[in-house]
Amino acid sequence: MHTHCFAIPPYILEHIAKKGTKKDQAAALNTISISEQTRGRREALKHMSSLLAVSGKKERIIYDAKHRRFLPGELIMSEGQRKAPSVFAREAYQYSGTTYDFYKEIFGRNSIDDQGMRLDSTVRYGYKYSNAFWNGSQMVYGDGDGRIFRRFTRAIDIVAHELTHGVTDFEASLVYQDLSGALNEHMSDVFGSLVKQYHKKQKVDKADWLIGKGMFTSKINGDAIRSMKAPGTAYDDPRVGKDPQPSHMKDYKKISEDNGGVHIYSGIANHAFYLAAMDIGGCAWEKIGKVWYITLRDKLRPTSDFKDAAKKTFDVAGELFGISSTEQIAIKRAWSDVGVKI
Amino acid sequence: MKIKFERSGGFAGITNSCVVNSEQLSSDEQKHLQEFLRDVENKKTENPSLNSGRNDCFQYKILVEDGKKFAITTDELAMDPNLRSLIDFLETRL
Repeated sequence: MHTHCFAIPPYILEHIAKKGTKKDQAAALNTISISEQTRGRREALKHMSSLLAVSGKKERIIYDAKHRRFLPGELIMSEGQRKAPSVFAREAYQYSGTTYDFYKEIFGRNSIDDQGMRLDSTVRYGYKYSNAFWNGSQMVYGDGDGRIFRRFTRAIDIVAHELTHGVTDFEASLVYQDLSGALNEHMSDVFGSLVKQYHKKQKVDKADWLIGKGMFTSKINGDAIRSMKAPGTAYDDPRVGKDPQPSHMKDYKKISEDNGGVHIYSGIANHAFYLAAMDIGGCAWEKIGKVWYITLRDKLRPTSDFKDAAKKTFDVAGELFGISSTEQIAIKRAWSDVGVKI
Repeated sequence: MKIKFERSGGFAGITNSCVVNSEQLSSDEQKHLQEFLRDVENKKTENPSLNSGRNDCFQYKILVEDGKKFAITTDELAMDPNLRSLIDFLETRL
């Protein structure tokens, strides 16, 4: 099932993507992206990467969908523009920039694809749209309905979460279903949280370990959307239910909703990361963040699950810090505490 | 005709569901529903493939009971145009 007709031949779209104006380039790339969704995505991304690559410097583009559902929308802000036209644009611009800086400075990664890919974001997507997503080539943010959710650009960890989905697409390409999907979500939460801690210059004991803090309106009884410290406690309100995240594998069961519970069971791995980070101490991006990044970049495969992630993070910690180092032991203990034995 | 509707996923991963009777639909929405059912019968629709750049998108399940049963799972980027307005309507009932 697909929504879009692709009347323009691919070679013309590719030409526009290479030679067109910035606006036309974005539209062509978006069309290529959607059409490639029915083909091999990873290959498509690799192919598009060469079209998207720029000078290797940070380059951000913000579009406004003006409450419609067409992507990318109207170009409203480009790299270097000093005055943002709206709070949505300012947040998407600043936070995607911070995320870019984080990956560059901490891991030496040059953007989403490690080849200088431009960071495209669309704000004000849909009418009262309470969500944010990564569509394979750009980040998309709704305003929220104002009743339950506030605007999705307001939390830096949400922006970093979406951008990290792009990184995962280019690296492990974790299948977005069941436990590999939960691992995909976990990686986005980990680096979302790390970008927030890096932005605030926080050590592990000062971090709140919440994802999407302040996203609920004051009418909802909830601090955040997820808690890595205490999965299952982020919210509890009749209008949205209770945070369903477990923190232990004993509570895992196969379900059909949410692509097999990718946003639910990510809580188990999130909690393992939190436990290990607290055990190791310091700034989480320096040691355990590096272990997770190398694991995502080099070790995981599309169908990897929590057990694979546990083994690989354990191995990487051994390579970086030594066999039986405190870091490696902390990681093994943390996975064990959430029911994943190495 | 009874329609069971479920929305799950999205960044927040919150699942909501409702049951709607087709008599509650407007004539336009009933028309879209009929077109959708016809497509299902003619096998013109299929479930979206996995892992195709839809991270954090909403996932929808629709079960229509009208003597026969039709069920479909889709997401917001893979959606058939006939479904969009029907889902827009159903989302207001969540």
